[in-house]
Amino acid sequence: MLLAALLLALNLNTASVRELQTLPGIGPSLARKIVEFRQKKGGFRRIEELLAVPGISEKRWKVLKELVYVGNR
Amino acid sequence: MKPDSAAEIVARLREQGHEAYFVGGCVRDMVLGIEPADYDIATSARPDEVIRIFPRTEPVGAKFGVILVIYRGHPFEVATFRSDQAYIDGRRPTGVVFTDAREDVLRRDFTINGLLYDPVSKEILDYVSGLDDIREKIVRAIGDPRQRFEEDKLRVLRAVRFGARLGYTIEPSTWKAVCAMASGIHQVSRERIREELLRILTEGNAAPGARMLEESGLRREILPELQWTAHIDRSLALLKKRPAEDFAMGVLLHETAIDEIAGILERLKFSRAEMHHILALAENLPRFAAIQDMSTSALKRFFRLPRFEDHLELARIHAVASDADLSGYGYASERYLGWTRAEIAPSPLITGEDLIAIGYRPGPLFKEILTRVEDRQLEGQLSSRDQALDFVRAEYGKENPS
Repeated sequence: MLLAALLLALNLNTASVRELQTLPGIGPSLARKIVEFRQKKGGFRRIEELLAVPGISEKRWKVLKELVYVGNR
Repeated sequence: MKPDSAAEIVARLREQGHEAYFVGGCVRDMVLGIEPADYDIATSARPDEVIRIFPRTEPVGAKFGVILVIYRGHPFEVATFRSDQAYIDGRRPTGVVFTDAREDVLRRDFTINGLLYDPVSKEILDYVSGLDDIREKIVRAIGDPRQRFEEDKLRVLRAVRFGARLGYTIEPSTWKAVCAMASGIHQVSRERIREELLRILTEGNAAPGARMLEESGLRREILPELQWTAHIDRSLALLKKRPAEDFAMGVLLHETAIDEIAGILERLKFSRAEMHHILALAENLPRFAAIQDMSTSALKRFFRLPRFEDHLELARIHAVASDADLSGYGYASERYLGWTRAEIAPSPLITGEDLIAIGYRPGPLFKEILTRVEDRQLEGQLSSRDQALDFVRAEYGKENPS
């Protein structure tokens, strides 16, 4: 992964609704859905789980997968 | 790590100019955040290519393009993209044609199992809207459900299994096809039926699974002897996570008549050991009703049943499910846990040899004598060989009782 991407990458397990909105294609409602989804699951174990969030299309995924990672909660 | 090894296999195939993806249940599980049990790989590489690329392979299903690649000590199924030709006898395709990724997915059973994932680029390929169905929690056959089930009759049971395990609803036209084709299940071998039934009972949510079996008509086909009742439903709901297969089966069948249980297990080709345990569970359950009246020796003998914990647990489930009083179960578990193994099954104080040594002639009475000695040992009234022999002499005389 590029250094820039690494530095910018968001930890899916700690990112706030506001931080998630800095990702391309993610508005307030989708950001909120991601956080709700995270709370319901008790956290993400792999980034692929984002694909189960309603609203994350394959197109969005293409961009997102490079910009997020799963770190400590 | 298994996922890394699987990803390396994909990368190797890519380097050689082939397409390759994770496919099926492992992709579904990854998206769901569940650790996949196995990683299956689909590729454009032909079987001979796969064999050439990897040093350790086994041609498990080379006819169908399936090669087992042993990589870093783990086996991985690597299958060439294929579409199946006509199926015979509801189980096996007559032949296969090697095709592309999309065609390969279209022959598969359910949309949630039809995802392709490239672990290297993290691209996901979803030709069947499987992701939508994961998000909506739906089990939906790919394409025409009847045709899918016609191809492999076991798929009706798989629909129930996925629905139950994941807590998904079965999409209406898929469900209709399950119900309509329930009777076709007999074309599947009984071993495969057994395996699928056991997975429904042990992978979580056994009660909704069994309910679906009932409502679809599948229960009537595979377990006609079983009376589906609210009690059985509630009992299955009380199963703990990942129960042993034979225990789960015991819970399902604990209200069925003994000879019918034996018939079911025989038919579904359960092993002798499993049959023994399942029958013992049903046979011994009634004994808990009067357990407080049992003598110490009788209790200890009862507790010697193999895997007595299972008997206890069934007693608990049965009582809770019938909203009955738990005192029998509570008493049993307290007594059971209060004794060591050596107290429940101590080595005998005396044997037939000892009786011969004091001048007794071997005969049918030996068994009675030894049982009575053991009773007293278990009750704590006798604790040494000498005491035991004194007791025998006092009860049966000096020598040669006949």
